[in-house]
Amino acid sequence: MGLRKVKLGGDVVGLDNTEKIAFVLRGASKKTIKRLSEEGYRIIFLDSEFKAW
Amino acid sequence: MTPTHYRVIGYARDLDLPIIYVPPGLNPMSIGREAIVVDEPFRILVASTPLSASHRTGRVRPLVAGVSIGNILITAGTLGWFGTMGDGVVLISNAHVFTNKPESPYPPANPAIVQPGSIDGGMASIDTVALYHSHIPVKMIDESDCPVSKAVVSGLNAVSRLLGRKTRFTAVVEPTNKVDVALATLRKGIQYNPLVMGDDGKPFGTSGELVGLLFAGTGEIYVVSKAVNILKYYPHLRLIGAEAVDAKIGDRVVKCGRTTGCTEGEVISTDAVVKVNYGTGYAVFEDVVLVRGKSAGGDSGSSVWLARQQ
Repeated sequence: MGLRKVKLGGDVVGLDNTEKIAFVLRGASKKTIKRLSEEGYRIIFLDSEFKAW
Repeated sequence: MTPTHYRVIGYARDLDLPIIYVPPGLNPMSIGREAIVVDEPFRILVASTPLSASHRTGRVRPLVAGVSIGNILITAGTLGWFGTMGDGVVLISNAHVFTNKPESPYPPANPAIVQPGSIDGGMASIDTVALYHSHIPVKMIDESDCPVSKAVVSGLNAVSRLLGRKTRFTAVVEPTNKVDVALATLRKGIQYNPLVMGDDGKPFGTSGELVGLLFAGTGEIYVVSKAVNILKYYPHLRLIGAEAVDAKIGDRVVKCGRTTGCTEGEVISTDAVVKVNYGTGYAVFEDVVLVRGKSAGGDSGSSVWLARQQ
């Protein structure tokens, strides 16, 4: 646990590595969710990516 | 007041709006339709509608924050705040609001900043309130030119092909950004008030504690460039009547944007890394604030303030 550094990419569109929060697109793979959970991240699901308004 | 006090005296074909005369003493923001409002023939007060937030898309003089604005080459964003650089007053908003190419280190082809933004009828001939001053280029994720990376990727793709796999690799450069910000120099003769427009068209009382500028969002969560970081990129910029502050998780904040008006939100991250879609590409931002709160296209550039203590 905590050895692999979680990075942005794929369905992970935002991270707060201090508070361990991951912002993940709804519909992300179970593998991604499992890995983030194992690393201790709280997951917030988003309906869409971040867009410059 | 009833609408019968108003009189339609003409029609602006290019804006597709009626020109309405308002007798002295009547509130031009209370007109029941979108219009160019004048108190003497062709002395324009404002182009307005009485609907919540939508008067932000009209012509507002003196300039205040929270209204539609943008480079003439884009649609519209929001005027964030006011500052000074040396002797001049500058308007503060996003790079992608004051230039059509925020990724470029060069100025936009046309420096005109119009209020309202062009999608709201702003025209360079009569609505140019400021001229582009500068922006911090947004570095996009791009293919790598590094020969070593290219060689490694080429090798990986060769192996993938040999194994009969369809996966292909690409080397990319993923630079990080901290702010999406630009300045525009206020034109001589254009009046301004360092206030934020509330949803009723009157000044919205802010705390004066500026967290930063909204520049992206998902609809339910929005992303804020920290004011303290903006001042690191612009060390000579002085905010007028505001102080740059750091937010804490759980803080209540408020923003007033061109599209969704004044909304309150809650800070859920003060040190986030996010990937943002700019339409022409993606960019990664670090050390940004995330707020759970409403936003939509056109709100970019909105100033985000700590909410006033109850």
